Amino acid sequence: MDVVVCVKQIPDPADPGELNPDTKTLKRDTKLILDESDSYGVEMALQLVDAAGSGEVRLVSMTPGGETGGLRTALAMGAESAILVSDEALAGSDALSTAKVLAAAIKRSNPDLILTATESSDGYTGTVPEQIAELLDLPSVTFGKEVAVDGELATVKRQTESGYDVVECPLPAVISVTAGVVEPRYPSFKGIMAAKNKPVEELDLSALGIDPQTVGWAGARQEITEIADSPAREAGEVVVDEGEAHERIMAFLDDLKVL
Amino acid sequence: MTLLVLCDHDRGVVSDSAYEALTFAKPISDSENISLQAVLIGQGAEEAAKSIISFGVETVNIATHECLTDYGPEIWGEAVKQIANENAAKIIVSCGTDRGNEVLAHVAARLEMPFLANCRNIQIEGNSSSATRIQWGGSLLEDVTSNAEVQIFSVEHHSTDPQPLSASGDGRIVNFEPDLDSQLTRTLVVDRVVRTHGITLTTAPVVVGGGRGVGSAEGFASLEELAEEIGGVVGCSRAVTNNGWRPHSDQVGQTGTRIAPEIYIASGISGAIQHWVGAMAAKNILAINTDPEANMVTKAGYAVLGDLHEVIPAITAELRNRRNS
Repeated sequence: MDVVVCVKQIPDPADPGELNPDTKTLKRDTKLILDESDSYGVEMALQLVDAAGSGEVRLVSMTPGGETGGLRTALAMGAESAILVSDEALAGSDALSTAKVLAAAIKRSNPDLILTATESSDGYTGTVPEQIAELLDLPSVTFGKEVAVDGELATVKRQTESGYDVVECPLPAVISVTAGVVEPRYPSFKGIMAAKNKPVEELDLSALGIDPQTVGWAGARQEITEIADSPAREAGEVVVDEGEAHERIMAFLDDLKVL
Repeated sequence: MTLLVLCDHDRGVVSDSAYEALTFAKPISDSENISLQAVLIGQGAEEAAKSIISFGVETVNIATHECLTDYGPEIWGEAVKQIANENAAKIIVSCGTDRGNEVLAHVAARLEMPFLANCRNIQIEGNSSSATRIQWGGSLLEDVTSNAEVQIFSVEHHSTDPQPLSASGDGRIVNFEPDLDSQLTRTLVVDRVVRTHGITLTTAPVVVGGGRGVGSAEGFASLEELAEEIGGVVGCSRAVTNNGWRPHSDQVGQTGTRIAPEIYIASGISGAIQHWVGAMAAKNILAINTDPEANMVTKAGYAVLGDLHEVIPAITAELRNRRNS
């Protein structure tokens, strides 16, 4: 069974870099890393291929600038190869444009299953997986916490607020995977060395037959006019416990009328 | 022209999120002078329509089709698309819940229109819109303008207080039967497993959160006791699930559950950005921590510098005293 995992390379959330006042986007000149949300999909794909006994895990990613740092991490975990769609015209792409590009790249790979994260850590829209499914005319299941494959059928435990639904769908399908549901393996030294020689096929838009006018700033039909940090939450009173803090807390809770 | 609001309900009981979306949409439809219409899908929609009609909605469209009884994002998206086309929708809105965002993602792909998820402050002027969208889980705010022919938005969950709108009384309920291909039901829910009854992390008015500072799985016993006494539930940080002290379903944060309680009691939690993202919608935060520099302490409305293992049981005892006196 061949599984494609869509992965995103993002600035390190601990050090996201500065905002670019010209493009109103985050400067991406810092080193890009594998979005942690995607490491769960990579791990789940590796486990599913192991369980199937044959096949491989391939990666699909998109970035304007051709960075591969995050991809190498996923290759070191055990993915076999990657397609990286890289084109300056991709800057400013919205979710639907992103889905268009990823769908075109996935098509070349013709997998049995496509896994994604439920949402990226930075863009935070959570709509790309469903839109990839729409564009490929495949079934979509989101918030998967467990995925089992039996022949042409996938059985997914779909996380809900109060528990989970068991959802069945025919393959190929696009399934988004909830973070934290598997323990992503740490790349071994051997894995890291092997990743350096694994194929990363770099494609531009013309190779995928995509008109640059339909993606990026041109295709998004939207413009970012301002970007700023959220207003900080104001710090309140800070008290040191000298054995009576619980009384003060009770008074605070009384004031809020939550008791 | 219409402004369509996709309203979520559970077997006829309208969700708060639907009222948030309606409250948000009403002034837009007023100022643009376009018809405010609701869309309801699924089992119990007729019951839900009766609640929504008194909310200032001109028309409630109920999508009726044998394939729409249970939730299916793809087929629901197609139904919304057809209702949008039927009513010349100019704006489509839902609350930014998981389900709202999921259905609108399908609608947007089917209409080939951009979709702005998790917005605040949407302004419409003629054919263009401007909106503030949250990014990086709410730590960045982005202003976006768009001139798409159909404007599709979701409203950040918990960012609007639902206001009961004046009943106009002349709203109507319309049944619409979309033309649907049964192939769109190819994702089939075969079983529903409910693990928690009653309040959940998402709906709890009080969340008692524990982090690395709790120290062990056993250390959570006192948090459980406080949660029970105060009518809340226990949540935790990622460090806790990584250590195996609590299940992932208890995790608050970007890779867990996003909460919005009246008060979040964050004990022994430093408040890394990934956790903050899940907790920031809390109306009030009480931090209990030994570290005065902890993020959670600097952001809390009230912070106690002390040992949670002493402070938490003392609050529980105080609550019990009150109950018994």
